[in-house]
Amino acid sequence: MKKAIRIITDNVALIGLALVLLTGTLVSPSFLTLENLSNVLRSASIMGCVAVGMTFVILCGSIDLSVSSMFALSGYCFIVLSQQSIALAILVPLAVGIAVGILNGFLVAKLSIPSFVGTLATMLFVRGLVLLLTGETTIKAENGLPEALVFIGRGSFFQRISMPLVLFLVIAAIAAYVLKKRPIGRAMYIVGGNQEAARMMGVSVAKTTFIAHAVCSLLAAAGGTILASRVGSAYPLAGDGYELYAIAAVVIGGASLNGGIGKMSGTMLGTLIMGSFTNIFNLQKTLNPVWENAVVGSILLIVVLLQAISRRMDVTVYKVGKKLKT
Amino acid sequence: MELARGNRANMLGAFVIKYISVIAFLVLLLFNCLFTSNFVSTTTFTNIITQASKVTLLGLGMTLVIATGGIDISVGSAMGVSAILSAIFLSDGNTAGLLISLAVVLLFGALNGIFVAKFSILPMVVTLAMRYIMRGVAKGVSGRGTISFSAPWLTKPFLTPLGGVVPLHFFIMLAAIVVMYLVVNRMEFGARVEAYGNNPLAARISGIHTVRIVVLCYVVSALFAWMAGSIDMIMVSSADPSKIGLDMETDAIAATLIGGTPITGGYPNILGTVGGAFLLQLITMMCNMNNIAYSYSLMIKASIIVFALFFHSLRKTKVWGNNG
Repeated sequence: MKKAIRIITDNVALIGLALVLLTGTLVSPSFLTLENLSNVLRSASIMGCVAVGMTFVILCGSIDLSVSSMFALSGYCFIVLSQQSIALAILVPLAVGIAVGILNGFLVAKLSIPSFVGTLATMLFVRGLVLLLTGETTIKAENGLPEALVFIGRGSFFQRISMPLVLFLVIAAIAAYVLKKRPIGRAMYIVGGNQEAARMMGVSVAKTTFIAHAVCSLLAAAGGTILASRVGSAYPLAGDGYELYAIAAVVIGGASLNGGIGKMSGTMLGTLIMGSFTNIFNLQKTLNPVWENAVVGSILLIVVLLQAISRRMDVTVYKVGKKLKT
Repeated sequence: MELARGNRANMLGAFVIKYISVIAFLVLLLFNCLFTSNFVSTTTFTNIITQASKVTLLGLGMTLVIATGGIDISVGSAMGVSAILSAIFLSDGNTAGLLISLAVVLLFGALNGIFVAKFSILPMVVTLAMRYIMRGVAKGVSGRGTISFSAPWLTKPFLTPLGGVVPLHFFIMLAAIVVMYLVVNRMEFGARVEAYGNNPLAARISGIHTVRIVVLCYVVSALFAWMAGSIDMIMVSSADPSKIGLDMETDAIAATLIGGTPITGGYPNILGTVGGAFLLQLITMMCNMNNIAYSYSLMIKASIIVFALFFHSLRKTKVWGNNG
């Protein structure tokens, strides 16, 4: 029994992917077609940007709930500025993303507000800002988007390889490199693993958390920009529920919510699972679409439960003397 | 002599800090009575109580949860589930259905608690998932969107204030506050919650059944969500699964944090939360009276949460003294 749970938790991403693909083929014959799969990859890429950013934050043992609002804000900036200048339309949303990330970092790292409340406040604030700016309606680009900006969301190479996918792979590759090879990436593992030890090793906990939050918001902004380019309009409630999807993707990828454990490859698998799942949910006819978020929530709960059980087994293995749990 | 005076000043300071939300509410109320035109009237009074009662009820539960060092962002969705289930039963004329909806919501609350306490999963993540699960359940079981019902015997007492001034909400709220105050300040349960919030490991070692305490806190939170959801539904004789209780959790969290319950766990400040809820409602009313848009009120709420956290974190430093 214990062994079985261990095997499941160690390979939860691969098992999940196999399960999802299997259900997909069973549910609809159109799932395993080249066209559908390239759709899956494209929509998963947009969500994947958010998930990659969330990986940094979760590695530090923090969390960011404001990604959903950030997603909407960057989309709005993109659509409005696309009428002015191509460079501004790309750079400003990303700059706004970094600014919100810095705000998050300030609340969490400098004021030592627990991340879930600090970023909850940011989430409310940014959502309010978006509603204010958009006037609570969908904003369309009046003169249409310039060719170059449309390409970000709709372009593709060789018919099937979409631009969002390429962007996502580039972002994920850079992220993986930073996490594996750069000092700041390694510092995130240390901070998430043991703050006290990090401090003793001369790693600045505040600075590392700060950077993780800035990167997370930046990537959420990138995702929002790509989506806005794809749909050509800014929806004030865009990105609603994305924090759940991103956290689920990261956790399914094997990251621990307590920080210090996680890999970029895991997050990519998790993203793929979540993307395929959303697609299958849209293809099937039996379950009402309103259940989608509920099912994602249940999946997240089950995965963290498995993690918790396997962690508990670790504790039992290494226990010395009497068992002591908090 | 010097010492005594210092002590008295300290005690006064501690009292002010502890009930800062109540004091701020009273000051703001006085300010409005004096300077806002058309403010002093029974309608205003009735409105404040009617609207603050929901946040107060949710806040009472949230206070216990936050006192254990946790957080419950699923209460808004719990309101949705309770309202939808009750509305479905009431539309069939089945009053006992209210109890079934209560049981379902309490079950969800217990699940929250078990995940948090038994499996030590982050409360934020458990309740985030539960928030979407319960919202999905509310939308899923309703199937056809808004559900209306007609139960005049139930609706009438809520809509006709006693003596034209005091609505039924007030008495429900008052009863809840009194009970919670006594439970927290006069019973062992409150002391245990505080002990657990201050130091979970120490609480466990000293023989407190920590899992039971934490699960109970989340169940109480769900209970208040059920009450708030039912009141919300009865008031309008219908329930919209995607609207009822939406984002109410942030109000409840804000009320609790303004009230001075430490976010990292510790003493559950019941009266502080009540003051926080009324303060929040008064600010919302001022926004409405001055035609400030919904988007601004979100931003104001966010700022209040951050400010409250910042203010109460000052308490830990030497300036304010240590016992709050």
